[in-house]
Amino acid sequence: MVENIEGLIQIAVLICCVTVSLYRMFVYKSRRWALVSFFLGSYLTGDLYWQSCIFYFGQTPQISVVSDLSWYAALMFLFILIREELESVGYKIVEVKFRSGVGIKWFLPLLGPLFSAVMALYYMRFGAILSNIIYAAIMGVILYNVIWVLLNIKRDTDNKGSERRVIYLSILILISCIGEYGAWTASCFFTGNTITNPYFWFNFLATLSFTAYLIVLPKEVDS
Amino acid sequence: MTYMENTYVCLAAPLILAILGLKGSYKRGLIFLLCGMTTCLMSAYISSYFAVLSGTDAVSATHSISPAVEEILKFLPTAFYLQIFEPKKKAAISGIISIAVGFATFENVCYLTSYGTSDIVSLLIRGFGTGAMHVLCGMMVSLGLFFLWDKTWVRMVGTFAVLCFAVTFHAIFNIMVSEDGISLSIGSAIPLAVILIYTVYTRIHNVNIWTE
Repeated sequence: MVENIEGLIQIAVLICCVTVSLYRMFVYKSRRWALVSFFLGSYLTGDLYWQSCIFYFGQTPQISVVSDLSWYAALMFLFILIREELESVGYKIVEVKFRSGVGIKWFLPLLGPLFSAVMALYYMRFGAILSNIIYAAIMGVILYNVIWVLLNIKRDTDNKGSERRVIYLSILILISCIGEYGAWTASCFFTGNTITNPYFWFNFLATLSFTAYLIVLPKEVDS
Repeated sequence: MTYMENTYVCLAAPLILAILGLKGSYKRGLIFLLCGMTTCLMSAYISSYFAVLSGTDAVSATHSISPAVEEILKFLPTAFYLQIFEPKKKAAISGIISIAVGFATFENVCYLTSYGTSDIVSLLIRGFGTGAMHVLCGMMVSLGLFFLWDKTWVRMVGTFAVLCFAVTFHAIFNIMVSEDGISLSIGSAIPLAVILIYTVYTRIHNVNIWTE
């Protein structure tokens, strides 16, 4: 019961968020909002497919790869979004040369992919191998980018507003990732269908983070 | 038993003759329609093959294998067109939607030959619902490509992501229309409503998202 209610709340929140982001995409003809719409829309379709199977067949999908495809897509759009935002303020991760004295800042982001790889190995004990590898790959590059931004982006340049926006976006993506990983990990240990199950707390955190994308990203037209 | 390939030959023959005689955008439009119908025929074979290969029953295959195969095959002619001819975005978008229309048309004709033409209400629901869903999936893919086609890495990641999105949307539609009654009506109405809202909104506000 709690799982269904939580799933329905997430779907309702996502429908509202997708509507707002689509409206902004059409009004401002914005690539940024197109990416946000696709990210939220993909997440929504994954949830809807999952809930449809429960509603129509009384069980989770027989072939879960369809909803997984949608969630892969959501993460890919999120990855494109952070890279595009980063490039919009003049940063290109691949072009940055290693400088002495900042080594730790270049190596710490690698903890992201490492973390996702270790977690994927752990999840493989409970789920499919291929989907965990794909999730680990996508989450790895997202975490790498997010940590890189938080450690390396300069805060004292002329374009302060844009850079602050990228930092806020990175923090938000990090919160979404924590929500996702928390929910996945909790589902390995807790199977109860009550509110005391941490899976629901983390999933709710992810749900809340979706609404924050509408606040963190600016409405204005792309240059 | 439905002989889809016979139906295909019958429908494709006038199109092929017209393609031979026409030029320019008319010819291109008909080629895309024909491609859509061809991909529908191909996807029926390939979906059945994968269903047998994976030991999936017919119902599960409709909800999981068919949407993936159909969306990927529908995209292949577009990918070829984009890579070889490097068209303008507007021409590519028209192509994607024409393929979707061709696909939906052939699928509806096969439905007619299988289930008859006596019940006009269910045929209307079927015709508009499936047609709208395929066109909406085409619009979603073209919208994604429109925004993500400029850089190579974004194009590759974005194309895959957009296809995944379309596959899941298609799968949800298939689940909803697999049940008769209110579920079929709602499932068919959603894509139709989205297209109508989009059309009305863009007309009222004079917005054209596809302009470069």
